[in-house]
Amino acid sequence: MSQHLEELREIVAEVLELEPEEVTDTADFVQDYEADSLRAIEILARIEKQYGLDIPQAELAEMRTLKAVHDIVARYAGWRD
Amino acid sequence: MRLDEAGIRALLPHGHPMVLVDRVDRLRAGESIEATKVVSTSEPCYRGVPVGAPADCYAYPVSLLVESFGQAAALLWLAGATPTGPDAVLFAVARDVRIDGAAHPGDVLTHRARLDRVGPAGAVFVTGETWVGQRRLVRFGSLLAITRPGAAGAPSEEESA
Repeated sequence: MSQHLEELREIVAEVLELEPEEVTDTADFVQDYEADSLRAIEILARIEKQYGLDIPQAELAEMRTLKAVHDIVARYAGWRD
Repeated sequence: MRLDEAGIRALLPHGHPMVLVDRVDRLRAGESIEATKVVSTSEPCYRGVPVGAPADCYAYPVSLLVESFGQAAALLWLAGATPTGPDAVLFAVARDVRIDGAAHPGDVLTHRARLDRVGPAGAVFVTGETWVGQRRLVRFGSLLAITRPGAAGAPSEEESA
């Protein structure tokens, strides 16, 4: 598992008030963790802050699982993992 | 910039008795704010305290401390000029909050808030502290609000009447 994926897992877990090991790669934030739109915005905002990125708000709709978040962030950050 | 009660009421949508900022002593729009609020025995939160109750019962509720700081943070945002009119500011979450003491009636709370970052989708991060004199009561590591341009503001006279 990549270090970036684990860092993102930590951010998602903190925002959703879960333990990192509870956040699986493919669980749906809304359906499985009862996240709302505010939590989604907070996740995006904290990722932008941590990595100094500017990710378009339009990507929010797709950021529903840890794997999806990682793929989108990797694209904007130029990660190759 | 300074704001008195009238200036505060013009910016905040809250009505009595939920306006929990009395005065703004220093305001740099979009950067930082220093605001005060006097804790008083006459506030609704003390209505049910029985005679003879111990001093602890007069500790100002933490929920209202956070609300008061949040209103100062909202003023910091609302005082910035926006071409679309007053923004709606929605408190989302406060994280990394450390509470080191309590305020009691007669204390003057001083909130010092700084705009940390403007994020995506109208997200605004604020950090700061609440003091009573030289005593720091609360440290707010990260408070997140969501803003919506021109979506709302202080109620008009008809609405608040």
